[in-house]
Amino acid sequence: MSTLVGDVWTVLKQDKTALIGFFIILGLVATALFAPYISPYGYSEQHIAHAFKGPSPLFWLGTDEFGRDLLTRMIWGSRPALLVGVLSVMVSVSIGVPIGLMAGYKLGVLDRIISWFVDVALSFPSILLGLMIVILLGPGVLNVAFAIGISHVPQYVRLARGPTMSVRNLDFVRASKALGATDARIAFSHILPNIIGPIIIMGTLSIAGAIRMEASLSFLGFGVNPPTPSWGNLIRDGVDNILQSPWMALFPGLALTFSVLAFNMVGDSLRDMFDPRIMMGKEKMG
Amino acid sequence: MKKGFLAVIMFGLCLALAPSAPAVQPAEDQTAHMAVGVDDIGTLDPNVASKIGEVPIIQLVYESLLRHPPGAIDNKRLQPSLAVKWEVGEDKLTWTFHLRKGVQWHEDFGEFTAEDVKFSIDRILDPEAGMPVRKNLAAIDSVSIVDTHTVQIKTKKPTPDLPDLMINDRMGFIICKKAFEKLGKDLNYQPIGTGPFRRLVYKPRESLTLVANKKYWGGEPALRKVVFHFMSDNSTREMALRSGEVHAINIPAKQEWIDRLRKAGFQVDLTSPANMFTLYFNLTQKPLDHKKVRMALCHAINRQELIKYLGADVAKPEVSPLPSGYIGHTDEVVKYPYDPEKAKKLLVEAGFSGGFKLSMNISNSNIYLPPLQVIQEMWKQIGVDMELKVVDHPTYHKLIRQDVNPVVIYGAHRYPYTGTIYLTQFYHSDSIVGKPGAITNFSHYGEALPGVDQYIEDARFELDVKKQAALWEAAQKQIKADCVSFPLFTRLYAMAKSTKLDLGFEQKSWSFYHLGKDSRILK
Amino acid sequence: MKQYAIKRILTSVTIMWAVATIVFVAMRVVPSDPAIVVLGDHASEQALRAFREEMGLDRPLLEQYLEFITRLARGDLGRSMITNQPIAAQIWSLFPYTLNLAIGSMLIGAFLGIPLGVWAAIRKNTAIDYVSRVVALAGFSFPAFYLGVVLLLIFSIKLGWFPILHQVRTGTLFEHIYKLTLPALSLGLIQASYVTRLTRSSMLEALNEDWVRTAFAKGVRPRDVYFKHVLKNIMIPVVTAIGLYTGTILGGAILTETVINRPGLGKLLLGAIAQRDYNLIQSGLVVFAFIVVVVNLVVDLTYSLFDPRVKYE
Repeated sequence: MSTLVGDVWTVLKQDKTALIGFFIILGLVATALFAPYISPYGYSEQHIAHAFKGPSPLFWLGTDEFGRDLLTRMIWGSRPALLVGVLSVMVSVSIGVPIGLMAGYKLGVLDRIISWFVDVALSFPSILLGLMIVILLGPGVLNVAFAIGISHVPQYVRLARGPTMSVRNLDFVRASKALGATDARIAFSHILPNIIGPIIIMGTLSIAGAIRMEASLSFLGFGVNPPTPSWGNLIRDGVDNILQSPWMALFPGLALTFSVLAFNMVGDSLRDMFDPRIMMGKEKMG
Repeated sequence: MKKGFLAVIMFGLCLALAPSAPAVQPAEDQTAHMAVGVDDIGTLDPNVASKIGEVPIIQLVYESLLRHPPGAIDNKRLQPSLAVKWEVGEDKLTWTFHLRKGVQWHEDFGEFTAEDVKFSIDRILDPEAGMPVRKNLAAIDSVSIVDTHTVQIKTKKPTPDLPDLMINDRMGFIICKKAFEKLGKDLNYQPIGTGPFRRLVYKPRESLTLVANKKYWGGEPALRKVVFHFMSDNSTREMALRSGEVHAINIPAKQEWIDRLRKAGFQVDLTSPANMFTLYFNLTQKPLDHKKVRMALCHAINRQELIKYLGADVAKPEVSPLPSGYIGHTDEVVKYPYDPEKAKKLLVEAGFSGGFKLSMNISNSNIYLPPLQVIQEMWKQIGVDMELKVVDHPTYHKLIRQDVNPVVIYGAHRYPYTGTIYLTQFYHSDSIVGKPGAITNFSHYGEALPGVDQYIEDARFELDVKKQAALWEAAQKQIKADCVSFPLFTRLYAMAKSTKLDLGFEQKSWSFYHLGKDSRILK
Repeated sequence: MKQYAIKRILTSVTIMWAVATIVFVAMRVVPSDPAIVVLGDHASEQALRAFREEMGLDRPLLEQYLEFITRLARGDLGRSMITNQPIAAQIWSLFPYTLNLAIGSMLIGAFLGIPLGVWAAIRKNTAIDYVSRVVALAGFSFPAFYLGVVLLLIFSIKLGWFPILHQVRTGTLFEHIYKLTLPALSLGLIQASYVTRLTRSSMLEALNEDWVRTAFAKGVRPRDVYFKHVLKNIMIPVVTAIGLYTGTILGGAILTETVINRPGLGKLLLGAIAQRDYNLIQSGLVVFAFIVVVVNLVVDLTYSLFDPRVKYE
């Protein structure tokens, strides 16, 4: 494990893009953690008399329809973004990887069934999948994270299945089995270490995708509850009032894009370094 | 001297004879394009349709026995429409309506006769049909045909304002018996009426086109066609108006929209009667069963801020459970003015010094959610942490009728504008949600607390108008004294049109522009 | 080959069935009442009950499900609960808009992305490569709807170069393309980012192969190597990938149609969701899945035709 961290750090140091991305992520995390301290106002604090004002010394990025400070709300918007990003990936990995391991290891009917479910899930545009789940579960950060997480499970199933299938036939694995090791043990000790790399890579990229999907869902009105700010619903408010105050939509979108970009930069570099071939398969699936 | 005098005369003559400013010319293409903020219409059944996309279409296609003056809701100035004369008999129960002769239904469905009137009213009254406006016509006992152009309506008790019900609104539109028998449910999308326009083309989710009814009894309309475009996105609709693609749109009733469009040279009309928005406290849910808690919530609301948020042009403050302008309205009620300090003190007295949490469902409709967000923030200032669970509009209406919310916000206006319907629907114990026959009494007033049932019932058939009004006033006073609800504001409807669209009258009421046979497009 | 084709088709059919079932279940579990949607807030209990009866909502679930599946098999998508208009006709009339958007964005993606990717590969590790890499990264970091908003704001609202209203009125080819430009760009630019990267890495991988090195060693002109040999080889996986991005494209199309207010299946579906029009939601979701499944199937079969190296178990 420590060499893994060492590897990652080496990659980051060498690749300027990744380094920039890394620092943006650090900044993002800091913003989310220290939001209450760095925000000029409360995120639900209304100043109706100053509604729809543009950037000014009082409100650096302007205000929304309730006179709430856009900068403050953008800062706080980093919280659902990161929370959903990380949580959803945890959900995807913790559900998808074991299923993929099982499918790839046991093969046979179980594998067929699981692969079939994966195909079914992948025939929806993922936003529709996430949308359906969120409609069923209702709004709120946790539900959104769960919905996005579930919608990405198929990718992790595939991710875990492939290498599992190749590794299971290797000599030392067979030897372990012959010696009486349980399937679980084999999975953990032998197979899992082989796929940690790709999991981290896909995980980083998934965070990017999750942040984007959270924004999309919030934009469509299925995200967090008011008055909680999320970049997605900030953009939505902006689009609804686009003829009155265009900046309401522009600024949060920039925050969103940069955050997604940062995770993509890091994930991308990691991928380039580790093994481009495994990831080619993922790319084809879209 | 004489020369000067002559000069003045000449000058005066010149002025008198000079051609006046060029008269406003009608345009070549007399097609009106209207854009409404809906995705599609739901139904064009005139006795059912209530949405903003549907009503303007129905007003052009269908008619009633009497009608409001064009563009207005005014039961003091009702005009003859399909009925030319009406009177009540000596028994005070039997009304005779003399129908207009020679009125033709659209698309060769024959002449309008008393049969159609009887059929229409019977359909509304039929309990099996389950029409929402049935209770509006509860006063009617039976309808009988005297001859092809004479109809008699008998009421159960003396009802001096029966003609007020036979107007161009959901309860009064007349449908064609033959058309209903032939088309059945297709009537929902193929309306057959007697009005100045008839349906031409319906493109689902896109538009509905009406064409002039050349055989209209009032004369051929000036407009050749009217197209209603469905555009649910507000900004898109505004851009359509600005680019000249449409002549009129409905707009969100907010100050910014009004100012922006006026600045761009469009005429913005704000109409009433409109919905009064009230907060109803569910007396059966803790901690709202404490009167002091309810009072605190009221004192924490700064109505002026709410009105500032919406805009002084569109929002008018309301303090009484019966909206302003309704017969029997009084402002002399307990008001619970804005006083956050007092609110906090009341909470302490009620034993909630640390504040408390509330959770309510709210519609994502932009007439409900934004004001509630303002209120949410106001309540936060006194320590009341209200969680808003946003659901879609139909779900909101379902949930509040299932008695789920501790607080309900509801906007409504009920014709005819007297105390009867409004107070009954929101405050009579028979209307409590969850009961059979329930309407919209969300507070459980009348059961959770002895309410104003007696006042309402006594007022229903009180023939002395002064006594009736006094009863309604007493009801309002008690409702406010018991702090059962908190009226917020009446929010007018807002719409904008290009100056090229000449309605031929002033739009004072209704949620969107109604056209008429004299409406036309100017150059 | 035939066996493979039949197998794939069968799999696709079963996938469609599963999708339809999941959609059906999802719609029934949602806590909303279409009766209130259609009849309005003031409808009486009787009217609501009558409506539910008419729509078959009060029948046992299994019965509703069976009817749904059999109708679907016949191609009958039912009627909208709200407008009572046949859904198939509505979807068919809106289908071209979404199709054009998908194709338009794919074309933009291909015509921008492939040249850029090739260029980046050829000039690997130079400034150009680096810039194109960052640009591509930025490109697909943009949420589809945000890019749409930005383009709308700049080119429609501020500059007025493109219209706000996207319904095709006169039906001329010019009008179609004109109204397609902005939405296709907002999706296409993002597509281009994916394509650039894919092309670049495919190209790089191909350039490392022995036969290419041999060609260089033999003195074949670099230009010929790149374009005549390598490019043709990588076109297949690249085009395949573009085809397989259908799911992503459609997802993006849904959001773009909302933001830019362009009629299409995505907007129809979202409108149906907002209105809780069960039938329309069901049919809409099924149609979306159908499109993706069919495209995947076609791409799969075509790919297997051309590339003998493809293994199918």
